[in-house]
Amino acid sequence: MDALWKIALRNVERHRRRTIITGIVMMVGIGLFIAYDSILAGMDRLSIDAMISYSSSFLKLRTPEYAADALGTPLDHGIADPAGAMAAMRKASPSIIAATGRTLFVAEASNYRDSEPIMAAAVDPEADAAVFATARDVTAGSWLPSAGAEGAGEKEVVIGAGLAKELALKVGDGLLVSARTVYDNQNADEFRIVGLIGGDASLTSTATVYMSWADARAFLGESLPVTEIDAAAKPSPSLDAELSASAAASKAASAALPALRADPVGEFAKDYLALRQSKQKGSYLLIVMILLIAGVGIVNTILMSVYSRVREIGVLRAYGMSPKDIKALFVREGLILGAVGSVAGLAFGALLVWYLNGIGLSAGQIMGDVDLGAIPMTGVLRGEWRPATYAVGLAFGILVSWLAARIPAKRAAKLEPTDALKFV
Amino acid sequence: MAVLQLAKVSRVYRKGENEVRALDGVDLSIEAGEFLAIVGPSGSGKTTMLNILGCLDSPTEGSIVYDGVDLRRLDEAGLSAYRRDRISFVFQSFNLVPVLTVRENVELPLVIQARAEGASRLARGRKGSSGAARSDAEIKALALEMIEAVGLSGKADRFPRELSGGQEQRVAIARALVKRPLVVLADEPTANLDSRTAGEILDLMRDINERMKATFIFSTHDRMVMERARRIVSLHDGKVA
Repeated sequence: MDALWKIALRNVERHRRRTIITGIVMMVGIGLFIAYDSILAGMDRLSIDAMISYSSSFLKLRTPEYAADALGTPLDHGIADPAGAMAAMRKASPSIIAATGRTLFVAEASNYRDSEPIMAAAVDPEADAAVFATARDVTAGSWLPSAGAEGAGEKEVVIGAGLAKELALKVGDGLLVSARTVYDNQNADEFRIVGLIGGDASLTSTATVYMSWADARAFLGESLPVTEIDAAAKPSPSLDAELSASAAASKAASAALPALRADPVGEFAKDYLALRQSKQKGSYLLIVMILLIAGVGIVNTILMSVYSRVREIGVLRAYGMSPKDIKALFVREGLILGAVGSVAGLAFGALLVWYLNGIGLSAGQIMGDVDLGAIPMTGVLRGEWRPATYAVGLAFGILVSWLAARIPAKRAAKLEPTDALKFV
Repeated sequence: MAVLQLAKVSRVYRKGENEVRALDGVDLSIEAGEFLAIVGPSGSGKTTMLNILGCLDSPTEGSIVYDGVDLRRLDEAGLSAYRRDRISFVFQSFNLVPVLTVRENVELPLVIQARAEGASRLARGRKGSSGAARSDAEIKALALEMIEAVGLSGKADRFPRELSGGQEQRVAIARALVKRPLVVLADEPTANLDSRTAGEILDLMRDINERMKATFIFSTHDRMVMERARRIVSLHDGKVA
């Protein structure tokens, strides 16, 4: 081993107490940064996954005219050949494993006394359940029967548990729904509630009604078009991979279906992703601040090391060691401290994430106040494994140590041998 | 043959308005292989003299010629290189590097030389070099040979904290001699030792002086050193008395 590394390493070992204290500051700093970043990434993943599962899906096909006025849910800009479009989309993007057609329409739900504005969806119960998580969120009764099954087409709806609570309705009760038909007149009909979905907080729960295509066409007109096609894909290992896969599928689908607009999940999560970037900047600010404190610790530790070894520096200089080598000696001590603290920080961070994942954080509790519109936040929040964060933590830790150690090291290099040898 | 010649060497320190002449026109010629003690009361200029002889300080006036080399011609880096290759030191408080073993301490001057040689080869580029640096094996062998010469065989892997004061000073002597310097400068080398150990250390130095023909220059108050010195130079108020 190089003599300077050897001396540096042994001095770090010799002054174990101050090494441990400086190491702990770095370890805690880097560990917290990793855990914080991992949990933030986990929250992002959960949020975007929820968006995919309940609203945007992995990829959404619509006509450009419909997409331009999507909030108005117009019924006159449907997809001409939904089955053909689904087949072409799946062919263009092999990552897609399921697809379904939906038509959303604005309506009003009533219990004959009170009424609530709602967003209704005409769905293919079986295909929809393969793309969206709504069917899995049934908390009372059941999901809509598949086409051809018993009860199918018998004017049944599944509504949000929140809406049921608002209107004091339960499974088996009748719900009066009124909406504008494809013929541009108003129609109203009673539907039997067969299931309730979700809790009672999210918009999905308070303002949504699902009915089958058969019932919706009988209600709004046989020519009711499919206004959107939604797709599901195999889950990706990370959020970034998920977003990239969705963007790639969108590109392929757009090329295969030039008449339609294929929007990836990133398009619907634009605002959220912008917020994510600013959160990431916040986490970098956190590590900069923590490592600044660690940097001061390293300056202090190396300065103590310099002052306790002034005579040794004098001897080394007397024996012809150059000021450059003296500086390198103390910089190496700082680098060793930094490397020890950073590696311990990586381990501590990984341990924190492992522990938090082990105990399982409730997404509802942690993210209860996150506003994702109609999307419910449920499930267990898990930290994301992000190798880039570990690399940033390690690189930052070592860089800060190197920079911090240079200050006292320069001081050591400037010591005159005659003064250093006189030092008591 | 004179290994060292001082001609009208003065060293003046200025502290504000005051001027202190630590050395005042010293003329001195030292032959190779001498065992010489510089003596004098505190403040007489002994340490300044030793610092100047050790190229740690430069005279304000006068010339020093070391083995034919006029030190006035050397810049800071040149003095540092001269010190690295030709001069060694033994200190009053031993000043061993505490985190290095006996062998590693003795190897240190050679390692510093090897590093400097490596750096200068790098600076010269890949055009080849004059004189190859010693290999690790050669450095180790030379260090062990010196450790044996000072009577510390078997203690090569000990750390300084595991040695007595006398043993530490023996290591310091081995460290000073391992690079075969032109001159060994010893600043009060026996001041921190009991009289018996001091006597042993001085006998060891005399023995090495005779066997290796190394030139020893002491700064001392110690009567034992003066008794063993072959020549004594007395300083008073910066002048050779």
